[in-house]
Amino acid sequence: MAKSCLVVDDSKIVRVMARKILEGLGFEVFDAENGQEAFDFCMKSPPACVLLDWNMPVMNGLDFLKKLRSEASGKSVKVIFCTTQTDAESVKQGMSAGADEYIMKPFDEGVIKSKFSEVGLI
Amino acid sequence: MSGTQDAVRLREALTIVLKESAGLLLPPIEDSVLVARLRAACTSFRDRPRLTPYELLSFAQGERFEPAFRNLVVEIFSDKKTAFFRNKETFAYLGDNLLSLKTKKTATIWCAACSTGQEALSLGITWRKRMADSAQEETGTRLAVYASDLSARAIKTARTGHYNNFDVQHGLNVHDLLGFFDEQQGGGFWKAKDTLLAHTTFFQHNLLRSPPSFLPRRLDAILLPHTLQNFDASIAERVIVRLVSLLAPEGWLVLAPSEAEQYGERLFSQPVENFSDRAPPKGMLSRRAFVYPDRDALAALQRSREGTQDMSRQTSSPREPWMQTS
Repeated sequence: MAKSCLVVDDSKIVRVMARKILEGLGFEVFDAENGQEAFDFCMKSPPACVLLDWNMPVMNGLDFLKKLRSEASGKSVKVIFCTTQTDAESVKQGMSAGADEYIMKPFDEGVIKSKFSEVGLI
Repeated sequence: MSGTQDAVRLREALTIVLKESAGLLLPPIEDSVLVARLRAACTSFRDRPRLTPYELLSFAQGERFEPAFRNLVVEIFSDKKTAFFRNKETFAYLGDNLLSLKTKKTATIWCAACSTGQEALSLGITWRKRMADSAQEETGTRLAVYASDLSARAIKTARTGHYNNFDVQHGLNVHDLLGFFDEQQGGGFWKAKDTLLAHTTFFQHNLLRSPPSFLPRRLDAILLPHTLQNFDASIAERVIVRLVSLLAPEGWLVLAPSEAEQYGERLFSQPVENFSDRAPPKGMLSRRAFVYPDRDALAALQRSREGTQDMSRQTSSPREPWMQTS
């Protein structure tokens, strides 16, 4: 059975690109436009992993991650940040909040493969 | 002469130049890409004007194909693709076996086609993480990595240890990025920490030439994955023979799995599993399994290591008869 991945990004272009790559890697892909939408999705049916943007309207990625990790059902979900927040301090902040890996945009298939492999998703 | 004829002859000329200069095969690229790359080389080479395909051809065939331009052409057609921890299983195996040596004082490894240095730094990262685990640093055990590439530009980059956001995300996990690299001012770039760079000596080297004198002659491993696939097969075989002669008796030659399959059957006799408690990943060939040439011939090769200067021009030599291809 295919693993599920929730792509959370307010950019449609990024969602479409990520979907194409992840489907090619065998994932069943869902998407959300902001952290709140993503959180609601995760509470209904936690995916195997979340590819998470940081800067989004309504609820940003960092707040989503903290909220997800505070829930019992959200602790085992692999979360990989995928963001333009590329400075070292942001990377550390994201990892401290409970991310499993960190992608600095822009990304390509090679980066996605590498990072998903690092956390045992492929 | 038609454009098609130009392209065919240009390919022929480049095929010869690449093989003679570096043992390389002309990559399977379209004519338009080939001409564009060559033109780029022309325009970046001193004050060369933009050349037509016909002029490129005469440039390639004629005496005007001077050494510096030849080097530039070889550089633009050589494969520089690399990544951190490419073939992860190899690094895990080396980490478990070679880089956690209990008895030796120095582990010596040569990355013989290191491109911009990611492979060499991956060895350093593996080593330092094992050190942290085992506190071997106190024993004085050290890692010495020698890393070379045909490309002067790639080596220049490798020496700086500078990588952009894109480079550091191919094969490197975020923990290793934060632990072994410093973000550069302005963002977008990372620099390997000096402690990591200190393991490695970078130098430009053409694998068809004799290895430099400062390279140790009993190396624990030579890493050359994904390189011989770009070589003319007969030259690749001779490169392997030379590299194996530089290995310690228990040393390893590391190729890509497909390359090990191609050359291993002929040059390496026994399954590598026979020489290790744990089966190494595909692509790792044990020096102890090397059978061609025989031991006497290999010893002679070691004695006359400095003899052959240019493998591409020499299919055999009185001193190195085993280099002859069958």
